[in-house]
Amino acid sequence: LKDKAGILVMGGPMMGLTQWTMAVPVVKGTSGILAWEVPSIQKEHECIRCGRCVVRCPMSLMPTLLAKYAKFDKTTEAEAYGILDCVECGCCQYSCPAKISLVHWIRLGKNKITSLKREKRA
Amino acid sequence: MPDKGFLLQSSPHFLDKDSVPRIMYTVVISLSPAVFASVYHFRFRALGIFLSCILACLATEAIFLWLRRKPFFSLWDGSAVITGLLLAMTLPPSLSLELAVIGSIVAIAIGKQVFGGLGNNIFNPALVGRAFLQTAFPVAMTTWTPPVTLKIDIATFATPLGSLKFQNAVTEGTLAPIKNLLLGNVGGCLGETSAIALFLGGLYLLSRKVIDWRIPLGILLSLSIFTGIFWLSNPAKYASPLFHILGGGLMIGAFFMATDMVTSPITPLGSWIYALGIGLIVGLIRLFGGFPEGVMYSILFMNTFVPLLNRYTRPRILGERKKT
Repeated sequence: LKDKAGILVMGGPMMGLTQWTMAVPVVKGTSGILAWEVPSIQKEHECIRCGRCVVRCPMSLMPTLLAKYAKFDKTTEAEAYGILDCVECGCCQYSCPAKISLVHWIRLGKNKITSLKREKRA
Repeated sequence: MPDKGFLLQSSPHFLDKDSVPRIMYTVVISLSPAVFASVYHFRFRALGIFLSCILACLATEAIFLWLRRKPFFSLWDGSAVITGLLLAMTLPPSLSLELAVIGSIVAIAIGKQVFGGLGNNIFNPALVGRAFLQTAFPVAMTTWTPPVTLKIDIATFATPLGSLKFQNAVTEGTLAPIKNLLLGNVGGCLGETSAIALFLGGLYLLSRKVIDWRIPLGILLSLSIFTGIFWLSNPAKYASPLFHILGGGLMIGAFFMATDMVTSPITPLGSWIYALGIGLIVGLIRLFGGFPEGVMYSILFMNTFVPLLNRYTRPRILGERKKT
């Protein structure tokens, strides 16, 4: 590993988890370890509703809508549009020309829904 | 070698190279054959209208970004340039430059920025600008000068569709020949006359996968079926589907206006319904409506249905049961 490595990923480039430290054990489920330089930050544009994420999604969801619902706390709508079925494969964000962090927003939306459910149960 | 302190970020870690400015400038490149064709046919008049529309759109966009305290980098994402270019292509060549500038200001201000800028507008901004001009200055918007390359000595004359509607061109036999429609050697708006240049640009966009192939195909299909039925039933009274496809603003509408990403549906099924609807309404307006040309109004009309289409054509989620 050269000195330039600024980001360490455990798993593949699409779904792998970034690690903060090298002191993480490699276990049976570890498929790969990736390391590269710190990527340059790309400017995020407004969603131009091109529909590429909708075409690419292997679960046939509408990621752009889910991300917007998650952003504005519309949990019931997000659940009705199947946010909990998302497998976080990252295809939508890869193909997004506006560079929106779709997977990040969808994860946040899932967490919002599950924490709301937990509160209700308690 | 650092031991810890690596950057943490959310997956995926690779992104496609395509970006919003890249898409927008691809559209600008694909419009260039039609721009060259119209500059060739209408000379400096075309150049003046193109430049004034683009500059006015950029200036309006800049003012609104400043008013709304938005970052200025989105001025250069190319969307304002496209709006100006597309608006200029739908204006008649004899239009004065002041009116072109007014149209551009309306297109950006009322067509786009009042809805919240790029990505949030309901209607195609260029068509909003044109619809405004058409309503406010109907005489200036329907005065057609013949192209310089068509060597006739009259100041104004009718577009192919105008002569079809008001002068019974089919029965009189004065219908513009298909070859002139292809090359753009007819009267009409700046960019809409040369069907072959527009078709080239559209093919380039399709090959770069910038536009959804369903929309132009659906529009051409439904218009040719609709006009084909009437043509087959009475060829002496109605023009052929080929004339309808090549004449007027249908090519620019099908390839560049209706496929505007922001104002077209995001679901594949929605795109089909949207496209078929546009073709049908164009046919209805051209054959039975009061206007010779209906591409602008039909696209604006179907734009209003896009949110509904997006809601009712949600794709079935993998593993979801069909509702019985």
